[in-house]
Parts: sequence; C-alpha cells; structure tokens
Amino acid sequence: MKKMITISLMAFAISASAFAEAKKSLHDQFTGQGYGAAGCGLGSILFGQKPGMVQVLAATTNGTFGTQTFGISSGTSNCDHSRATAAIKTEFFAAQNEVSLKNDIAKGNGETLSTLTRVANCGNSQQAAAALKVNFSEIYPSSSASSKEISSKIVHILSTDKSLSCKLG
Amino acid sequence: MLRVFLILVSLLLFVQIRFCIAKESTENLIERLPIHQIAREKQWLKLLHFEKNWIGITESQSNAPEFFLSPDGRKSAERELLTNLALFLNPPKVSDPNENVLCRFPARLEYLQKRLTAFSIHWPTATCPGFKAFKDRLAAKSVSIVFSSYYLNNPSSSFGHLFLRFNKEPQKVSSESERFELLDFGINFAAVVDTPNALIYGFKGLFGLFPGTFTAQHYYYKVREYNDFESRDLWSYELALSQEEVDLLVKHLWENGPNHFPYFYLTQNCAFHILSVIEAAAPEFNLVERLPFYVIPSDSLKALASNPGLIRDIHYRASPRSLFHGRLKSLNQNQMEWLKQIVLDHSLDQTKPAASLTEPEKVDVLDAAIDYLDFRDAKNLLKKEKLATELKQEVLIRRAKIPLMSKSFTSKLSGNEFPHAGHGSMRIGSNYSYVKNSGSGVGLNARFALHDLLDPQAGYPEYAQIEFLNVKMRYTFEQKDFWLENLTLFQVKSLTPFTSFDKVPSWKFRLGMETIRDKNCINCTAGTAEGGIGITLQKSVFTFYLFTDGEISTAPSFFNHPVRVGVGPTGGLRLQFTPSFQSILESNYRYQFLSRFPHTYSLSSDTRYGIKKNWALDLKLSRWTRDLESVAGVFYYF
Repeated sequence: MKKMITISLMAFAISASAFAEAKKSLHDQFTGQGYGAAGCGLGSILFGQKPGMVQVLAATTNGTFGTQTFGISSGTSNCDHSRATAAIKTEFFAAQNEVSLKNDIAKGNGETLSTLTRVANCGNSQQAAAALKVNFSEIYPSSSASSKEISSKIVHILSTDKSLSCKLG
Repeated sequence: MLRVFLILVSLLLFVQIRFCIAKESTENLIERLPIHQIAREKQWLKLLHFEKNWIGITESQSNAPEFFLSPDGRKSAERELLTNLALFLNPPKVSDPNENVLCRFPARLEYLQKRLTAFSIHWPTATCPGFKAFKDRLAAKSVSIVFSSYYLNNPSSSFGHLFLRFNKEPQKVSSESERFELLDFGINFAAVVDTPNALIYGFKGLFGLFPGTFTAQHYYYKVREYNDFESRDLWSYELALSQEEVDLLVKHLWENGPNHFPYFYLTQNCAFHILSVIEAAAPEFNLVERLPFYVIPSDSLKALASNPGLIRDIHYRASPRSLFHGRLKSLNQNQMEWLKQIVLDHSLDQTKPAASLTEPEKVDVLDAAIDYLDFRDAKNLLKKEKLATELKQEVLIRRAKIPLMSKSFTSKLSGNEFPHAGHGSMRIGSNYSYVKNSGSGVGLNARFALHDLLDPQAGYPEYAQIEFLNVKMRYTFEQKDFWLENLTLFQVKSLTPFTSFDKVPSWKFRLGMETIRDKNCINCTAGTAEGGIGITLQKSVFTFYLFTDGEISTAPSFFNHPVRVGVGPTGGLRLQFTPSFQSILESNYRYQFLSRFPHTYSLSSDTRYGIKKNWALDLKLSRWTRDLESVAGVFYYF
C-alpha cells in the first residue's frame, strides 16, 4: 500500500513537473530561461507534444536533434542563438533542416540551401551552393552520418574556401 | 526694455506652469482623463481580450492573473485602466528590468500614450532588454496568417491549423529567394497538452480545460513540421497592416507571453485567438464578430476576406506530396518507368529505362523521386531509419553527380483552391420527401461542419469528407409526427486514390444515430458506430471505392437482442461532372450478427448541384431492405 502511494505520488510529481516545463512562455524563450512549450529541436516538436503513441519517439529523436550537441554558453539547452557566432548558427540551422538541406545540396539550389548560405553570411552564395554540391559525398559519406558530423563538415567547407567569402566568425 | 520684461514674465509663467504639471499628483491627473470613455472603447477592450461570453457577460477571456494589474481587471476594463495608468505613471521599482510594468505591457502603454496625447502627460520610460531582444529578432515589417491545410490523420488537425508569421521582408513585393522566409518567426497559439491519452485529450479540449498559450519559433520549424513532415500545403495570407500596427501587434504578443486563455477546441481555439490579437492591434477591422460561434480555421480566413483591403497577398507553399503530383504530370513514359524502378523497386540501375533518358530528363525523375521519398518515408527519414535513409542517400548521390540546377516547381492556381474561397463551414437545408412506409413529409437538417463528398469542391480537399454534428429531422404529414431521422456526431472519410505511388488504403469512421429500415425494426432509431477500410480508384471523372465495413448498433426495439454487429461490403461510384455538380451511387450489404433477420442492404443515388458559392440543390433516391425514399432538397452554406 505504501509502495502504491509512493508510486502514485511520484507519477503525480513527474506529470506536474512535465506540465510546468511545458508552460514556459514567450518571455522565457527570449530571456534565456527556457525554451518554451514548443521545445527546441524538430524532434521534440514532432514527437514530443502530440498525444498518442508518437510521444515515446521523443527520446529517440532528441538524440539526433537535441540541443545538447549545440548547447551554447548559457548552460541550458535553449533555442536562443541570437548571440552565437555565425558558425554555430549555421551548424544549428543545418541540423534542424537536415532532410531538406540534403536535398538542396544534391540539387545545387533551393530555398533551404540559399537560407543556409545567408545564415553563414556568404558573399558569394551561388558559388557556396555549388561548392557544397561538389562536396556532396564528403559531407554525406554514408546514410548513417550524424547531424553533428554533417553540419560541422558544411561549416568547415564554407569557412575554408575563401572565395565564397562566408563570414562565420 | 518692455520686450525683455515681457519675455521674463512669460518665461516665469511657463516655468510656473511646467512646475504645476510636474507637481500635479497622479490622482489629480487621472481625474482629468476621460477614463470612463476609454474603458468602453474597442481597442482598450480588445487589448484586454474582453468579449461577451455565452451568458452575455462581457469580461476578459484570459485566465491568467499575470495579465492584469488590478485584482478585478478580468471583470472590469475600467478598473484595469485606472490601475494601468497609475502604475504606468509611477512604475514601482523592480530588480529585474523585464518585470517593470512599462516592459510587461508595452502595447497598452503605447495605446494610452497615443490616445492621451492631447493631455501632454509626461510618461516615465524604461529600458526593456527582454522585449527588445524579442522585437529585434522578429524584425517585423509585415504579418501573415498561415493556414496549414486539412490533415485527416490527426483528429485535432483535421479542420486545419492557423498561426501567424512575422515577415522580415514584405511577402508581396519581394521574391521568395530574397525573403529568406524560413528565418522569419512564426507565432503559434496552441493548447498546452498534458496528457498522451486521446480520450482525456478530446474531453479537455472540448471543455476548455487546457491552457492555450502563444509560442514563437522560427518559421522553418513550421515548414518542416506541417509542410514536410505531415505533407500539408501552407497558405500565407499577408495582411495590409501599417508598420505602426505591426509594431503594436508585436508588443501585444509580448504582453500575451505569460498570458493563457482556456483553449476550447471548437470555439476559442487557434483560429479565434490569432484573429483576436490582430484585432487588438488593428481595431479598424472587424474580425472576431465576423466569426461564427464555432470557429473552423478556414472561417478565420473568410472573416479576413470579408474586410475589403485587409488581404494584401496570398502565397501558396506546396507540400512534397503536392509537388510530387505536379512533377508527375510532366514525366514521359520512360521517365515514369525509371521513377517506379527507383522508388518502388529501390533500384537505381540504369540499364533499361534510364539508358534512353537525357540528363535533364534524369534530373526531373530524380527530383520527383526526392519529393516522393520525402512524403512516403517522412518519419523514417527523420528518425534515420536504415532502409529509408539508404535509398534516399543513393538517389541524392546520383542527383549530386548531375551538374544541372533543378527547376523550381510552382503549380498554377486557378483561385478555386484558395481555402477562403470554399463554401461556408455550416450548412442548413430543407427538403420534401416521400417514403414508402410513412408517406410524404418535409425535412430540416443542419450541419455544424464541414464538407462532404458532394458539397461544392472549391477550397476543400477533393477526396475527403469531414463532418461534425449533422442533424436531420423529418415531419410526416400522415402521422403528423416530427422525429430525429439521422444524427452524425463525427464522420470522416478519406478516399485517397490508390496508385502505384500512393499505396494507401481508404478509411472511414462514423459515430451517430440513424433510422433503421430493415426487418429487424422498421423506423426505429439506433445508436451506431461504424468504420471501414478499403480502396479507392480514380480515373478522369470517376471515383470508385470499395470498403469492408464493421458496425455496431443498438436500439431497445431490435428483435432478439438490443445490440447487433454488422459486417459487409460497401461499394460506391462518384461522378464528377464539374467541381460543383456531382453524383454518388452507393450500395452496401451487411450480415447482422445477433439479429433475427441477418441480411440487410441499401442502395442509393445522390446528386448535388451547386448554384453560386453557398447554395446547392440535392436529389436523393434510396432503397433499404424494407423501405424506399426519395428526397428533393436545397442546402445553404454559411
């Protein structure tokens, strides 16, 4: 009986804290205290919020898209990258838009790719897009490459090729 | 000398007056202001979200004490105004600058400052780092309302979803490539859901037990979620608001950060509150009052369209599914073969069909394959499931080797597809009917939402039926009797045509009551739940479907047993003469377990002709095991 009470109390506490977590608002998102109800990372958006079975998938996708990989100085995994360097912003954007960006790099053009070169402040965005396309198999060596590996390779290519004049500092 | 004296006197007087004003106490100042009047003005009431509730009392819809400075601000717009003014004029000291009242309620402050310019009030100022960060990141030049189209696979999205986007560059004047729309911010109003249980979710959603809050995200999250992951088309309606109104809207959303409203799935939902914040910033438009009591997202778009000049531009962002079907139309026979080989047989081998293709033709095939895999394998690609990512990787490596750019694909819109152009979401109708067993009579019907397979198609999905609360009543002249003939609580039919690319089943579900007309009980009313799974085939104007159904119905007056379970097929054919002139022929057979007479069947033909946008004529002939009916009627959508 005692055990039952403990378990139900724990369950209550967990669900209450999950609820409190979810109640973070616009203010919290922009004062660096949290990351809002929508969470940070596509995984938590797609699998973390909706009722039903997809809930359980949140854990798996968070590993892929989680902000821990991209966590910046504040120590909390929030989405506010406004003070981050262009390199970090570019890596983050690349990871959040991974599927679509990969399509665009294979094609050599597209909205997600041109937005990426914008985030990376590339002076010559068309040439930057072409450079990424040429390096497709280097950026995506296998289908199992991690988001972190992929996005750091992209940043590496953009920052080493000086003719693209991307300002990632 | 006289002049110097005069100047001195006037200077003295001026200083005196200034001094008096500065010394005037806040109480005295407030007494001079038209408080009573402002508290009744539209914009002040809208900024506090005062609306008349269902028992006729006007009060704020907000549930959050943080949204008010006066303890009874939720009930009294005037007391809230008094307290706001008193605190804005003498803001209490706080340790966190963001907690300053001037920073917490920037929209109310700006509104009052402008409204009271005639009184030359000296307003204190404050620096608000949090708000400034928010405003700078939004960098809003215009605002769009984004409609994410109907998504049948999630009940809470089956009517579509609505959110705001703040544009860093105006949508209308700049081209997509220069706008970097993905980096704009989306503002969402949604229920904070705290349960994975669908039943509890439904209950709490209907009765306003979830708090609804505003959240901000980069627009690319929205595109990835709705457009890519769920394959829903997105429609952006840019509003013709002035820069001043856009700025006020940003401020008002900031005020709403810690605020929450009870989220009612049917009434005060995303569609309602997106309009309510816009109206607070731009009160010259009438939006909330143009909404029906129950709000479907597309109703909000209709409310926008009913304000002349409010919509500046409409932009369509096709989902991968729509893109794929668009690209498919331009492929020739050899290209089709190679496409099927890639996406269905998972082979990029180029010996046969691909050998004869030119490089640009290959690009078209590979691009179509990319869109196709993106919607078919959306979840698996995101989760990096092995099979899906390996095939996609192969396709993309192949694509990257061809040094040609892709055609940017835009589908031509006729205007009929615009979601605001559809018929009204509610429908009422009347009819004259003749029934073999009960004689002639007249009928009345009302449907709360939204669309069936025969309603005029403009603005709605072509192969879907979504109905919520459809009531049919009938009065017979012979028996002088008025009764509930049919009631649908909820009904969904998804008839996606089955093709080699879209190997998806059709499905349907219905919950309601209906009049049984077979030997087990004639004209008795039974509660029923039915579902079915099947297949739909489509060729030119014909849509053919075949289902295997299961149903459970209950009526106290059934012979043998009050509950019966039926199983059997349903077949139907829809003929589409025009998008607003269609016919359905349908028949079904059921084997009714637990019944004395287990064989039941029905046959029907229903033809509807839409006249203008919101009127339709209907002729329906039906035959059941023990009855015949013919009905001629008219529908009005609003």
